[in-house]
Amino acid sequence: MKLRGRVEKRDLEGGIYLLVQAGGAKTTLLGARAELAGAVGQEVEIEGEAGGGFGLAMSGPQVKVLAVKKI
Amino acid sequence: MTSQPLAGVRTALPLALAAGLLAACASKPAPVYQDPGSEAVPGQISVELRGAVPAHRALLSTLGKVLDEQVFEEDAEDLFLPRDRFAESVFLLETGDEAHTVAALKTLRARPDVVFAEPVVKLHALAWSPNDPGYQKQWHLREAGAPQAWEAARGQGVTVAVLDTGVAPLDDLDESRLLKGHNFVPGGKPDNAVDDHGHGTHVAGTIAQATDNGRGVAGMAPRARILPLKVLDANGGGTSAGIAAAIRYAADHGAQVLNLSLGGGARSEEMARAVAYARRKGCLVVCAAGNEGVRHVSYPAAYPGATAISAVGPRGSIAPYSSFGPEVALAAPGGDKSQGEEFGVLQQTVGEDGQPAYRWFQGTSMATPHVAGAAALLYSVGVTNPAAVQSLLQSSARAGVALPGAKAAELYGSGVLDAGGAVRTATLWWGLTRLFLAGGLAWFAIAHARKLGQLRPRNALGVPFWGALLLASGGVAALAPAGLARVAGVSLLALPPAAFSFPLLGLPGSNLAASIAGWIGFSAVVPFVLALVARGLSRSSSPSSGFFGALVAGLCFGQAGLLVHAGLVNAVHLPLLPSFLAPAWFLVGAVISWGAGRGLLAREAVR
Repeated sequence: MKLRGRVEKRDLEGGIYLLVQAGGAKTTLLGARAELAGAVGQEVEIEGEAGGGFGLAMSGPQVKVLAVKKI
Repeated sequence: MTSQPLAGVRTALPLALAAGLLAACASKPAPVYQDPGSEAVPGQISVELRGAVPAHRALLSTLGKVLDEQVFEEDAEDLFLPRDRFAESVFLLETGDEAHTVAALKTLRARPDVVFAEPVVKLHALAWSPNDPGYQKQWHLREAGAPQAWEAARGQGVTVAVLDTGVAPLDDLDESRLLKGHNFVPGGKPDNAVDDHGHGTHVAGTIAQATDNGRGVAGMAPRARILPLKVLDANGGGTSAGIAAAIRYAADHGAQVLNLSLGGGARSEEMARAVAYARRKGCLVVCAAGNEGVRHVSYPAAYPGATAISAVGPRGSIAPYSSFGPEVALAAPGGDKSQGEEFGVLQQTVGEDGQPAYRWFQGTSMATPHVAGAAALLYSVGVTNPAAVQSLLQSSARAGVALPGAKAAELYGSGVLDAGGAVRTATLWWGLTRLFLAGGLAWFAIAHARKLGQLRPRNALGVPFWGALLLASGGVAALAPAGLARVAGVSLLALPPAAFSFPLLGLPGSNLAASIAGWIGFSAVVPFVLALVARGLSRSSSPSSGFFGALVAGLCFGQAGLLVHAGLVNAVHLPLLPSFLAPAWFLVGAVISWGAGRGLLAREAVR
């Protein structure tokens, strides 16, 4: 799947990354922490797959990040 | 990190004093050497510095020998930076004779990066306080009532399963209390439950960090065992199937408390059934409410049988990220770093580089293990029915800060965790109640025997009778909050004798021997058999007139009081016995125990 939005970092559970889409929907991003750290505040296109329904973030749906592309 | 035995020196309290004087020390020159008198530890000073750790080590090596070192990360935003870059470091420095100590203090206090530098002093605190240097920064343990609870209980004999990213064996986790775990992550090695993220280790630390070991930080139930069950991968994600399997595994492998600092939005029947299964097997399943900050509790916290936990900040107000709703049972400190980094929850974990690090985290994941630890403390004083444990935690909770337009019950459940209050109820008040019940039952039997002329006023029952009654009823547990847990061996007295097997064999349900011991302990078997022996040995018309007979008679009435209380509050879980039948079991045992004691007052049958 591909998602577009802005990357945000939340200081929760040791640090999690969210993708905030145009409509305001938030998706927790799993993995690729180094790439996401460099993309905080920027618009990106995320290529990913379903990240399992459960996790430590507990901040909405999750996507396992396969690739991050800055727009 | 280096460490040396601190030889009984309590460094934590000097650090507390230093923290309180921090502002003053920073704003005006401190005296070069304040003689703490005879309580000073010769040649030792504590010093806290901010900045690059290697530079600190180099500086201190010129002033003396570093005996201990604790590094606390300053900012979670620096997760991806080397841990030495921005840190607070507390060092214990051996400086030699007094002249060197004075010179070292003068040098250190002149530096702008020194937060404080002071001689180590011995303090004899009235209330027990662990000597872990970082404990003074753990506001959350004090907020959760841990210091008061520690007077009576430390979690001995209880196993807490941590279903998370795994647990890493670190220097501030007691290796002997870390059980062999299991990995439920697809593709992972089944026997490898080592943390590859850091979340699970932080959570495990809140539950059972090595405490009073002179280093690092403390945990809620330091003598509890941790069963690491890895259900989340290195990215922090997992599946309902893996989590459900781990819940059942924990319940089948001797865990009494399950900590699930995780969640998701999708309901899973498989997981719901697993939670119900664990609860039936005597486990308290403690789950995080979620971090969306909305009126929606995530799963598994929202399942029936789970204990959902919301998070509060340092002033007892709901944390801005915490989810809430009608399923919330209790709130606990989860941190609120919007008020400052140090208002997170501080534990040891593994950093991004795989090295041990002390970090402040926030989240409902951090609130949950405070409750799991408090539950372990209650199990360790003999409250083994999860419904009773939850009831004690909820009834002793403090009111959360009311917010306009929000229902307090949905934000905080029954209130904010007070582990000290819960443990006090289970020991002091329950101990006194059991003693009162046992005394009342004995008085009734004695009055009845005297009315029938079977027992004359001169037949004083004496110390053996009343002493055995006090002991068997578990009345001694009333003394536990006075500090029984401080003394090795004596801490057993926080339990009624019927539960003495718990710390030795494990809690009922954890293994066959423990289950048999639990069944026997909470029945009339022991008093009944001893009463038969006492009657057989005595030739008197009143077997209780002899020492052994009086002892056994007291034991019978004590056990009767204990069992009546257990039936009234349904405090004990016995394997295979449905919870709703347990009170009947206890009350039947109470009647038989009372009858056995009554029979020892007079050989004749009761008319």
